[in-house]
Amino acid sequence: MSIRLSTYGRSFATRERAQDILARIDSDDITEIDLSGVRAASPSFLDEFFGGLVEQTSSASLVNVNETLQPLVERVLARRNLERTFRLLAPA
Amino acid sequence: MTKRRWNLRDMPGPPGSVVTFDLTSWERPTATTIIGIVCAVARFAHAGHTLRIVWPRSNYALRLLSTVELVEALETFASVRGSRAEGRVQRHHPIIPVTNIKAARDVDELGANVEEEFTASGRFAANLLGDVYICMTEAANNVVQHSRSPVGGFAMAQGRYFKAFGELRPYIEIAVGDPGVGIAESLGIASDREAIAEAMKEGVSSTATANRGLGLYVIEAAAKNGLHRFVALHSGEGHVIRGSSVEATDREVGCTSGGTWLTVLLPY
Repeated sequence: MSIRLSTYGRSFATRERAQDILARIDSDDITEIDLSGVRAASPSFLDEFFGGLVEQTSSASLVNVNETLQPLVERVLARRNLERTFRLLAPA
Repeated sequence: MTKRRWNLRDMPGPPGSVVTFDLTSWERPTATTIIGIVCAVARFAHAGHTLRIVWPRSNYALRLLSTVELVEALETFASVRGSRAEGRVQRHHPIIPVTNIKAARDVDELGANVEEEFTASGRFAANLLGDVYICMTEAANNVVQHSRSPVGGFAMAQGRYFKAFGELRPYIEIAVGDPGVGIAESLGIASDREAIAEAMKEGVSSTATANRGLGLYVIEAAAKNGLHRFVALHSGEGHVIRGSSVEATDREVGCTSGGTWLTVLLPY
């Protein structure tokens, strides 16, 4: 299953928002997270989002991460040792 | 000559006493100054003081305060007779007006407004959005999670010219502050200076939850992610400046804040 984060907005700031989105994702078979259309996110949101999503996937690709967000996503994943769980794919 | 020291931490007398904020000398108030005063006014109003505000004489200052909607912000918690002046302010671009932050939904809305302003205005380079967004929302997150302020905190952002590093440049100036307990009390550290230094380290948080303590660390990283950027963090009697082109400083300043104020300057 693919999750398109921009379904929920273009920017994401808080842990509470991450918890709200995670509660709406009803799948334990997530294989792809599409960040197209996501223009900004805070480290707190990303940490909570990926930290929570790990319960619902064993491995997923991160696609369409804009170049501004990419270093932040990498840092958050590295901090939680989640680089192998969420694999950042280069743009096509 | 003794340098005057402002103390915005201690209550200025018993509830009901009159507190006067004399802004007559304001000419080009910075975002930090504006946020600092709003925090103090909110805190004293909440504590039951009667407030009197003497507005700036400078028409430039009045127009600037109008564009950042200072009076509207003050009116949410006090009856204010404001002095408004219409007209544009040269070399000044409001990004986010003075905004009260009390809960997570306010932080989400603040972030959405930052993103929308960057998208709509086209005035600022797209690659600045990420750092501006991080600095504003993480600082605002800290207000909600740690300040214990009954009135919350306040945030604003504007584009203006500053003379820094020997040159007049356009900067995005971000200021987020709260009249809360301050970092030292939040972390349980006696010294304001030591508390600030500790708070800027990765993983340091007053919450016991794992994987916290990212906010100030990432804000400092953003402040070092380009030339002529810096972040200043002021809490109680502690004041720290960090940035890509400055040597980290920790110094005494002429003001004891009642709470915590953060400023970030990013050239654009």
